[in-house]
Amino acid sequence: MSAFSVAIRNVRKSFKDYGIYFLTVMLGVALFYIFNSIGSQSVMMDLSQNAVMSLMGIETIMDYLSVFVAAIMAFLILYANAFLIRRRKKEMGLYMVLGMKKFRISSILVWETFLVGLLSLAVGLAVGIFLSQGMALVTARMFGVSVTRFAFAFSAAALLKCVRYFGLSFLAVILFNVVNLNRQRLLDLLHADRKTARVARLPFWASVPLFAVSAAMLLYAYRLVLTTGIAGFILEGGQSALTRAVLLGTAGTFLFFFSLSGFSLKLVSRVKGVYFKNLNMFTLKQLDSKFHAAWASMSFVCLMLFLALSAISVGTSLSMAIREYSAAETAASVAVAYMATYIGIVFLISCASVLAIAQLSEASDNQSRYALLSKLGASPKMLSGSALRQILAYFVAPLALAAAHSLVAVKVMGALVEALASLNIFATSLVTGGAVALFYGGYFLMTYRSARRMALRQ
Amino acid sequence: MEAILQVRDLEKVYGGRGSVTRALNGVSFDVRQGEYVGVMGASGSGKTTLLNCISTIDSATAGSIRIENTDVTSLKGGRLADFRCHKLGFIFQDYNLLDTMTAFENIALALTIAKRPPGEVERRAREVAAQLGVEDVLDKHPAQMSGGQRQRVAAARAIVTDPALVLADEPTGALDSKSARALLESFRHMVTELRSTILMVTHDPFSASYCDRILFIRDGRLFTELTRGADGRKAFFDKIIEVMAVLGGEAA
Ligand SMILES: Nc1ncnc2c1ncn2[C@@H]1O[C@H](COP(=O)(O)OP(=O)(O)OP(=O)(O)O)[C@@H](O)[C@H]1O
Ligand SMILES: [Mg+2]
Repeated sequence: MSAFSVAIRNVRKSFKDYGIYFLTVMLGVALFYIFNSIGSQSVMMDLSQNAVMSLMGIETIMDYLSVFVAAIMAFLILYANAFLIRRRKKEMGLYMVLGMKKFRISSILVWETFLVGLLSLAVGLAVGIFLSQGMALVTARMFGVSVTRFAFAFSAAALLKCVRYFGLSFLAVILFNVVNLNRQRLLDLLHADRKTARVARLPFWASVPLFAVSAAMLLYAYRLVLTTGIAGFILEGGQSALTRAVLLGTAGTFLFFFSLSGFSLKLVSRVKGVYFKNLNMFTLKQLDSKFHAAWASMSFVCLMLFLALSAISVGTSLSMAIREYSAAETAASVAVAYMATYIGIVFLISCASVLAIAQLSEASDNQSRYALLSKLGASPKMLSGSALRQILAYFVAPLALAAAHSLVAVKVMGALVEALASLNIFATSLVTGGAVALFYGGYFLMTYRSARRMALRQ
Repeated sequence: MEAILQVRDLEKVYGGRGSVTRALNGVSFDVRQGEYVGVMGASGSGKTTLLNCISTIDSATAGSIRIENTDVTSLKGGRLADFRCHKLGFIFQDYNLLDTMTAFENIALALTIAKRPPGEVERRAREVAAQLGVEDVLDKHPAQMSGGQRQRVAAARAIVTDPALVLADEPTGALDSKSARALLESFRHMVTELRSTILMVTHDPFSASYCDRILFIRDGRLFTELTRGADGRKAFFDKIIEVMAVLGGEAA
């Protein structure tokens, strides 16, 4: 069989494993296309010369922004790919034992990456082109013009840009995989699933006061932001208060997740009625070790989510307010809204995929544990319940703290928005929050379904 | 006494389309309450397959397996899980303890899966740990225990729920002779003092000599069986060696 046909068979066979990878790349491509095709959407509208010019201006800004966004996407693709490879190390080890040359394994891998990349790129572009038609209507509304005739909007430039940037990302993935494979020793591949990382623990007596300190830092940062207010930050000397608040908030967030794992398990394990019930002991242990090992990335995800939430809600409200305040500033307001939403969604996708991939690799590492639990008599319902609780906690913890942060940010920015126009920022934020929850929830569900499949597959 | 386990005309066929393996070819036997039964036979004779069918990990092709008058071949999903955690205890060759949990938690887990009242979990887990002499390692993780300790913790986990039948597949396989002896003494203790019923697969005539009765399997059939009766362990050991010689040199 040629490497190509083996690759096709593999992709087909492990299509579900590729799910998260596919979804992430596809969404990335669609988003990338939509925001880079804004210029071409003017065909649908009877826009003033002025508005067309400003759309062109937005496109130039998008050009710069896109490099940044492409870098984030490339990182995500590499991250998702690393997960896939880790899951398949054993299979590759077996290929080698069976006497397959590394070159041939590499070519199978290259083809697989290429195929999945091509497929997600194509689907992502199709979704992007479809959604950009709706986006044109939104743009028209923002400029306050009515759509007079429907014309199919298509941007060849945006398409080429997608192909270029994502093609480059796939190339990076292919290179990474080939180099990685050639560095691997056969023994490591075969025993890839036998690792037990032990990280030193923060003692109980230290973690409780540390947690209190982190809570105090966060509350103080909130207070600082709320009392200074948006006007205060713009005034002389306000910047130092803002800087202090940001530093305190960031450090507080990291400390929060760092100290959390030190005592939460200890506390729950005191409540025998909960701890000694069903698989709770197992679930809590798993969560504990995961939170403990991944506190840094969790804090990071929390901060990114905070940025995403506030960028989207503040950005949209602010631009609406500016538009109401002065029609002449329309172009500027649209630019602000677009960029805020764009960056916000990119951050959101990044967070959701990072969480999803981390949880899936966890679930796949846990397969042998689930198999044992099942032999000991844990029912399928118990097993999926345990998987659900683990993933839920993992998704909700960073989101909850990020939501608290965002509430403070929205409150402060709300003053500015309300000063400019009679607009309730909380109403806009609520809609944003709902949309975010829907999206985030979708990622959560998809992760849970895959993880459950792994937990029950024996 | 009444039979806890009844195996009748058990058949297991692996594969299909050309390459068919008859791993079990009509096996019938009974195990009574409080018996310690060993299963011996050459490599590939079907011992693990037999144990896996009885333990409901694998499904039989034909025949019936009744444990305390329940036909386990028809159980599925939640009822199968219920049956496993209430009626069966497992001891595996490679211990199979959860590495993220302490010995105590590993033992307690079997109780929580069986939905025992949380209030009695701690007392019961400690009680059984003491019976198997592992109360000193209860706070240790598997990586910090010796092989013998791990296997005795696994044995404690297997009997903590008072199962009708304990199934062990080469439990001494990974142990040195001293730890193996300690484990076998523990099994003996489980049978005589705690009224457990054990079915144990082994290659090793020394381990087998601790049993009350040995079933010898050849090519998926019951070849013969040997009952200890009034013999001492040494005499029984010699008889096992004799049968193994008849079975063929490769029986061990
Ligand atoms: N999953 C399977 N698929 C196909 N054939 C199998 C499978 N499991 C076991 N067999 C075959 O069934 C027969 C019995 O295997 P089994 O594992 O029961 O032997 P055993 O007596 O436990 O041997 P050992 O002493 O080496 O562990 C063997 O011929 C084996 O190749
Ligand atoms: Mg075997």
